[in-house]
Amino acid sequence: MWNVIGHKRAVSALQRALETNRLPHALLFTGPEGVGKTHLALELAKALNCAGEDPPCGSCIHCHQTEIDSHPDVSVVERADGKDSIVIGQVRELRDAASLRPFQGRRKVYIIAGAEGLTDQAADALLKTLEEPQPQLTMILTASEAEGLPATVVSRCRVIPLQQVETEVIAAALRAAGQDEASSARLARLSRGRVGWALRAARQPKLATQQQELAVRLADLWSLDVDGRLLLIESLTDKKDRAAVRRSLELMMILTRDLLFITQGLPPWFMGTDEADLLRSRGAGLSLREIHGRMAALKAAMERIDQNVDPRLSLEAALISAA
Amino acid sequence: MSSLYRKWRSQSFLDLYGQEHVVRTLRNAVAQHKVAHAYLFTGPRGTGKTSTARILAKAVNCLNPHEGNPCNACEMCLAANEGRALDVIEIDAASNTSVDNVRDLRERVAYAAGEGRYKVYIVDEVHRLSGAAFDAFLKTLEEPPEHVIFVFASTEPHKVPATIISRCQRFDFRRIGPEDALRRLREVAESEGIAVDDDALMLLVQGANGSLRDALGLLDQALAYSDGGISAAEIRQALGLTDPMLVARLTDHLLDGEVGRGLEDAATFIASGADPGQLVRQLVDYWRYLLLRASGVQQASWVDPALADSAGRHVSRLSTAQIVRVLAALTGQDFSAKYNLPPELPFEVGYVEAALGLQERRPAAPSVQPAPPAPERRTAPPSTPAAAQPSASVERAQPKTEPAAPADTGPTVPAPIPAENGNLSDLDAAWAAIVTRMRSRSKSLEAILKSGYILGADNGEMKVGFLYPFHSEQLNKTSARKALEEVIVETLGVSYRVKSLVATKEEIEAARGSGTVAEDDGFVEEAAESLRKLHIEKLGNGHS
Repeated sequence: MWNVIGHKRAVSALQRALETNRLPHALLFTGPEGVGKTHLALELAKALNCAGEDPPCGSCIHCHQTEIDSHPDVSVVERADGKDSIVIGQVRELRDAASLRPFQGRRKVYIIAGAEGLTDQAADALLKTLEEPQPQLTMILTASEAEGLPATVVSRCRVIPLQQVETEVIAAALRAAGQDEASSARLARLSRGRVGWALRAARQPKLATQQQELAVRLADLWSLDVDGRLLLIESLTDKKDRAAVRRSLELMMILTRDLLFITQGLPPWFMGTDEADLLRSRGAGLSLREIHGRMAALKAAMERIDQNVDPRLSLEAALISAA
Repeated sequence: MSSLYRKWRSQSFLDLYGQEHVVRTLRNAVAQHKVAHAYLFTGPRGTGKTSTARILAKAVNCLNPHEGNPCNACEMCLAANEGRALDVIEIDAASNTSVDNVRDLRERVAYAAGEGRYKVYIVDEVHRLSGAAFDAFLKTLEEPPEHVIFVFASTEPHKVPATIISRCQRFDFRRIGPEDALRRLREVAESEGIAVDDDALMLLVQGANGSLRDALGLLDQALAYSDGGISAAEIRQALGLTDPMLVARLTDHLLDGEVGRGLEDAATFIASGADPGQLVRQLVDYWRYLLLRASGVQQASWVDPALADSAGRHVSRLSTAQIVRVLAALTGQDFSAKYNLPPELPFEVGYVEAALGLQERRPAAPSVQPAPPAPERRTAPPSTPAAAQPSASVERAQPKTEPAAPADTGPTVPAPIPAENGNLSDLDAAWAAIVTRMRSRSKSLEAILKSGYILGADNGEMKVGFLYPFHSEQLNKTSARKALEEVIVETLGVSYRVKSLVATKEEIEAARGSGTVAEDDGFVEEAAESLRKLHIEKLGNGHS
């Protein structure tokens, strides 16, 4: 039994490939942050070495060791703490280790998590291993999108795209984990398809409350005049903190998108019923062009921040220009 | 557990597709014993660089070559195919980048080949060697021992130093054309006993974008979802391709201005687990096809057969400029990966922007079924054959000479201007078209014409007025006038004599019946506008 929340399509494809012995030696899982790419990769690693019934059984020695990160044939390569990239040294190490036969299981499984972090040199150094590894090696890369990797890497992998998990599926999983009906629904919605976030929020209720409060206050945003907007943002975000500004922009974008859906007579995706009413009353007068203008302004601010423009300046410019 | 792309790696020059120029030269070289001592193979991923290198390595040592092609049966070929040939040495330059690796190699190069005639060094991803490593290579590369052949392969030849390139015979591998890719896929499918039709395979070819490895990888992926046979529908599902009917429907909604319905359709589709990025790609592919069709290009692009009908319908409702706007909107929506945003956002913002872009000039859109070029004739007397014919021929010629110039972003409107009874209906548009066409002839003349106005065109004479004598005098030169007269015939299909004169602003306005004479080309206004914006942004800063 695969212990995976959602991703039915991907799981059945992998299952099928395993049964028909057609699993490729190199895979690339793509999907937004927190949907469970690395988790799925580890499940696949279990399935490849599992000694029990209905692999991955979750209880044999291989599954157990993989679960607690102590299986000698399964390793996860990722950015070192505090580093921006996966460097060539890590790839060389991987390549040397990967050329050996499995020690305990049937197959060696190497997972490169966050492969968009590979430097160009590291990616090139990976190519040979990725194309023609020793016969008992399976490589699994994860990345938020295939476009973020060099075409030479993608071309050598089977790409398995993962989408955000449906809200109902996450809610069901949360209920199964002991959350009550209402908070399961709420957390699932706030998680925006990220299973990982939902599970974390179930353990730390503060995470969800913060998110929701922020959303409710930001719902006012576009109905205020420029001064009001600046004041609101001032009170919500530390504008020197690049990451905090990013999170605010993200939320503003998502709310504006919900506004777009509401004005088009479609159900919003992120807001719950009460908040949607609030948003509706605030944004009722906006035309399609105005909403698009706001989205474009937010997008421009996101790009500016990526280009190292002062975060406060970028955010304020967005709020002013979308007058 | 071997991927199709490894199982079906080309083993002889005969099954190397799409690189005939390379194959011919190499086979001749081998057959005539004129193999160079160093080759550089460059080209995009999946076009056969490494495969060709290996085939070449086999061919030079084959005991029984046939016209330069390895036999794949002799002892030497078999050894190479099984990866145990002593004389074929493959080096991954991307992970052995240092000068020490090259020194090592240099020392070993001196020893004679073990079994065959030649020792072949295949150095893949050669662009990754360090600068010192490249330099250490130079002497060996220029004058290697008789028995050594170097084959370098790289996807990024611009990173290989010129000193290395000049010592190699260079072959540029092309992206594999759709026919060749299709032929290869067909072959593989037949040998693997997979029942699949050409339409279905064509979907794979499209997705592979010129790389045979990608094409075979996709076939592998499609196979994982099926038993034995694959249909086009199954391939679409396996590759996460969008139902072409959705692409047609989204386009319909866009043209009808029904943004909400479009968003709803897409949301339903994406909620079923489809990849929004793929949806955008297919929508863009389709609109690109519409653009080519609207520009009069035939057979330039492939479109899903299921979309052929709707494409005709859509093209008739759109102008080139509108298509360009939609494409710009759809493609300009890359959101930074540093934000955790819904993956369908790029589609949605692009879709809304496209809808707004279409609305901008909605009245100008020829939403009527295209009749002969007749944009509203007043009490139109039947146009004389003399006038109608040339303008019709201009209509046909137009798309070729004026490819995809967006009407409102470019400087001019290149629409054909039908001449009625020798009178021009729209002087401004006619003049703009003439000026644009002049560009290809003479840029300096184009610049002069830009400050001119048509004051009138009748009785076969076109009066062109300028505010300043300098401009007018330039046009009074015989060569300039001749050129302009020729361009006028080309553009309007009717010939005029040109008379150039100096006129005051009032005269020009009176002749044209409007007050739109700009003393500059809008630059000052534009500059003022951007200064204003800058000012506002600055003020914003100051406040906070």
